[in-house]
Amino acid sequence: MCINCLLCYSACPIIGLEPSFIGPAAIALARRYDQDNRDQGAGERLDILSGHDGIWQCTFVGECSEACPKSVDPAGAIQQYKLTGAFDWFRTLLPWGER
Amino acid sequence: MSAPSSYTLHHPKWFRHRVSVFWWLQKRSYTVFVLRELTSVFVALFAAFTLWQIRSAAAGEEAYAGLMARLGTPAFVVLNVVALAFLLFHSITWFNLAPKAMAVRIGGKRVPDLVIAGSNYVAWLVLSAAVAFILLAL
Repeated sequence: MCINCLLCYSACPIIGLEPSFIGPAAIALARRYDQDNRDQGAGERLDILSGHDGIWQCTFVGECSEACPKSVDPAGAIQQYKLTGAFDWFRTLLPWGER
Repeated sequence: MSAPSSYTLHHPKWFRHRVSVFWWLQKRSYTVFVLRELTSVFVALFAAFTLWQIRSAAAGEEAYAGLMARLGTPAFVVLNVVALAFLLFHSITWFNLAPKAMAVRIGGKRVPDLVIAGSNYVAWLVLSAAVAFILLAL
């Protein structure tokens, strides 16, 4: 459970280099809601997170998860989001795909 | 030293440290990360070598022997040894990271990391054996 210490933001070199990057803790939180079956906002979140400032800014340095004192593993969450985002994009290419 | 505050969509305003150009030298794990990113250059190089090899194989026996002679020169051997080292580093580090990206659930339970990384290694071995068989036996 994230305690909002933002150590992951301090450990992430991308945060320093790319001012617009949404960052590890926020994306990990978004992932947490995706896995909550009472939540309906996965598509809306994915739209924002697969944009320019989202998951693709992450180059998987992995230091956010190293720094996390509560073992939240934001790096893992971002990589899983990338997989979800990539599958979602492939789905739009298919003739029977949504959107 | 902090950068002047700027307003962006997802961070209305916040305190930020300026990152040095040499940030990747400040910590061992950052350096390993940058080296891992650099391995992609050698992956591209290996792919180019393979295409070159296929092209000369298609051009005939003489062209292929010429290419082999050129690849046997010390400069190419050193380049290939360095490229191989980077390629192994690339493959091993990425296979070890694969379980982070793939949270596979079967029957409500998450597949252990070791199984996901292990299946990548097995696929790697099988494909390498197939390529070796094609190159050596045929």
